[in-house]
Amino acid sequence: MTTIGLRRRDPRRLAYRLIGAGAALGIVLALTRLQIGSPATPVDVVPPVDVIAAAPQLDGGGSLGLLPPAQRVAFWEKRVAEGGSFLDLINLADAYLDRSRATGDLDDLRRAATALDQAVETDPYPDRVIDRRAMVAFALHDFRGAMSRADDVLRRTPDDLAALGVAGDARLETGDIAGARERYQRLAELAPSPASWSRLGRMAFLTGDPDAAARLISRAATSSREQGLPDAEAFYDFQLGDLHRATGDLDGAEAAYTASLAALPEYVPAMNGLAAVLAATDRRDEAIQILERATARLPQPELVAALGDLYALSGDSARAEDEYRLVAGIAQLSAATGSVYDRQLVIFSADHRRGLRDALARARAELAVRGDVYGHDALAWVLYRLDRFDEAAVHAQAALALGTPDPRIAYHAGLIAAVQGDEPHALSLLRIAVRGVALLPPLHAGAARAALAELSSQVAQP
Amino acid sequence: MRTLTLRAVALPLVVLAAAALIIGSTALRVGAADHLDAPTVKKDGRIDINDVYVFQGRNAGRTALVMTVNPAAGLLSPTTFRPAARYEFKVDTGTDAIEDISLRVKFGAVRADGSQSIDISRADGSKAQTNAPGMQIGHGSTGEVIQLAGGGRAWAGLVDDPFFFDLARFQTFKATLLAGGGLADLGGLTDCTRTNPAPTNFFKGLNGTAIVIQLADSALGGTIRVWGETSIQENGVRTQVERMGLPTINTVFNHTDATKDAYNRAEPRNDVANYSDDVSGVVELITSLAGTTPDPAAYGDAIAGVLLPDMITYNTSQPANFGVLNGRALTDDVIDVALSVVAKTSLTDCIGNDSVFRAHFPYVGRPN
Repeated sequence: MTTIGLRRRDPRRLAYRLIGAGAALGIVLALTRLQIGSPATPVDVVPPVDVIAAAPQLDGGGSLGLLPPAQRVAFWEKRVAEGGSFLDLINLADAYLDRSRATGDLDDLRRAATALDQAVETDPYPDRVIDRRAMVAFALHDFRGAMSRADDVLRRTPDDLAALGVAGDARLETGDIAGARERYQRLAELAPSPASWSRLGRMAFLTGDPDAAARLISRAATSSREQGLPDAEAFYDFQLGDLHRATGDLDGAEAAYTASLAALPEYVPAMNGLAAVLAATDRRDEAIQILERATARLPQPELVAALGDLYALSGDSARAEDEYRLVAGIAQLSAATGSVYDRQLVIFSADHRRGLRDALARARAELAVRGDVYGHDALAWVLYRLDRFDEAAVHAQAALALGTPDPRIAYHAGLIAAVQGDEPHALSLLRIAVRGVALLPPLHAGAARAALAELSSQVAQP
Repeated sequence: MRTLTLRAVALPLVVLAAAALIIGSTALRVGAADHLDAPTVKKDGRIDINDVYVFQGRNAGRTALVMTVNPAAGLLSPTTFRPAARYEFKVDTGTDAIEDISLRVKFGAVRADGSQSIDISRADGSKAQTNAPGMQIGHGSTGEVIQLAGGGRAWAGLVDDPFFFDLARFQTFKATLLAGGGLADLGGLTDCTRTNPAPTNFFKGLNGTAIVIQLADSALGGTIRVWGETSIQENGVRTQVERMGLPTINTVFNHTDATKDAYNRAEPRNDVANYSDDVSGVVELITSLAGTTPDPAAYGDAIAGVLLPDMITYNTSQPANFGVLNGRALTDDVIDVALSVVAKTSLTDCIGNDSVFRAHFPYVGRPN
């Protein structure tokens, strides 16, 4: 059996043990000895971008009558093959981007980059190509490259809306909050729209104002609904659901995810969110069914791991291990496909105590190019799991620097504060974690509650 | 009045909606007659008027009105109409650029088979100029011919986009011009034997969606001025988001995203006062570069007087011919006409009509 939860340097306090997911993790660790199965195909298991990064442009409901992305790709590929112009190349790139959102195929992002690199050679208006190229770079987690390209466009055209968006997004991912805020505010001034409100909403959450975040993102969702844009509505409702989940409003979260799925059926991020709410409200079987469908469509590490956790909590250790092996398989692919899902893999490794040394290297490498609070949080969590508490505390502090009320950050930082002996701080953080427990990986929900209970009990003792 | 610079003219020529990739939810990527002419409609191709056509029906005595929306339908924009949006043909039967007739079309929710209900109404006189309800004259579904009360027919659905244009080559020409290259590439718009790049109709094989209404001439008037308009509900208020009469006006003569949106929300009755300088300035600049007239300013003013107010004038007793500014037929090469008028010299993009139109109502070609 492995241990998770509160630990102290003081050997006397090492007796602090948390139950919750411990037994399940023991089963998981035992099963890691089994042979790993091959994931389907590399392109099928690679998530394209963090869902927060870009609104979907899929017509999942079919109410718009758009052709499926694959047919759009085929159309523009044919035009290009027949000697099409830079316009055809740009449209082909956009079709690749749409398809990558639908399938998670990272190779489509690279195909888009190739098409755009061809288009820019002949396009008399190259900035529109560079805008897209910046977006592709961002989707591939080349944040510096995205920023460089967007800034290049902004030097020529300071009010280029697309460039402002990517320039702000890239700065947010690299930890330049002030730079991101400046560009988002400019974007909102120039084009008050769901896209700018959503970005400002995310900024508000990151900087500790979840109420403002809720107002902004609700406005984005409502506006998209009024405009009859189901794809956009699905994204903003999903974003709102995540916000409610983080703050413990599970009814609000369920309503938002349900609205998202009504706008865009089978929208994977919303399916994941809804499954988490269901799992947190004693409807685990329903949650499993949804996650099974979601991972069949888009097997992102985070989703696959959550499904594995739910299997484990249901006592189905064999199926749990299958899912964990799939995550491990994705990790193996990661080296070949880039760093797009490194953060998810780091968190998985730390959550499940698997490959911690590799995870540490991965977390450090990612932090070097993506220095936002979540990068510090991921590294802090791995370091904690490696019992390197002082180093973990440094990065936990950095993760908390903006006052981000994210229960995952709070959970990790709370455990680290506890092991450092800072009980009041640990209590405060673990309360945030437990309030938003539905945002934690399923196996850690019970652990977070147990940690809070145990620490509260310790503090209450005379 | 003559304050336009090369840079000011360059702005309206950036017709591809790069910003929509980030800002809008539906990223659309081309621009042409009036396709994707302003930020608001770039977000939703369903309310983006691509073209308006006015021509004689199969039989004399009938006038057909066609409005296309959804550029590159199915590929870059939807194939459906926006429920609750209002699509209108506005008709001025006099000379004041104020609508005397409004033919309004609204669509219901998309059904499982992709079809939508259609309601068609007509408002006359002062009702045509306001949101006062008109009289319902037809009801049916997309894809079917609807008989209208009082005579006439209507149809709406997916079609082959009638428009044709070498968009890529034109953009290259414009960029060369505006980068200070003068009219060095002008020959590219007259040399149809050129192979690199060869003339290419960007719109070949692309679809759109069309609304077609045919009425007896007597139900419209002798000489009419027509424009299309779309409006949506914004914060509970019906708001005009797009209008179009003549092709290429908003895409070529307005300078910024803000002015393009403002133009789409304006009324033809104010065009002369508000937009004459913009039109004449662009024409003056191009004819100055081309050296095709000794008095570019006077020529610019004259062209502004012809193009504004932005409506299609049509004498119903004559066949439509955009070349003489009488209506607009589906086969009319409006780009060659527009290029030649603006530069005051004969120009062509070397592209002709590629569509196969139906000989009978609803006339528009079947989708690709």
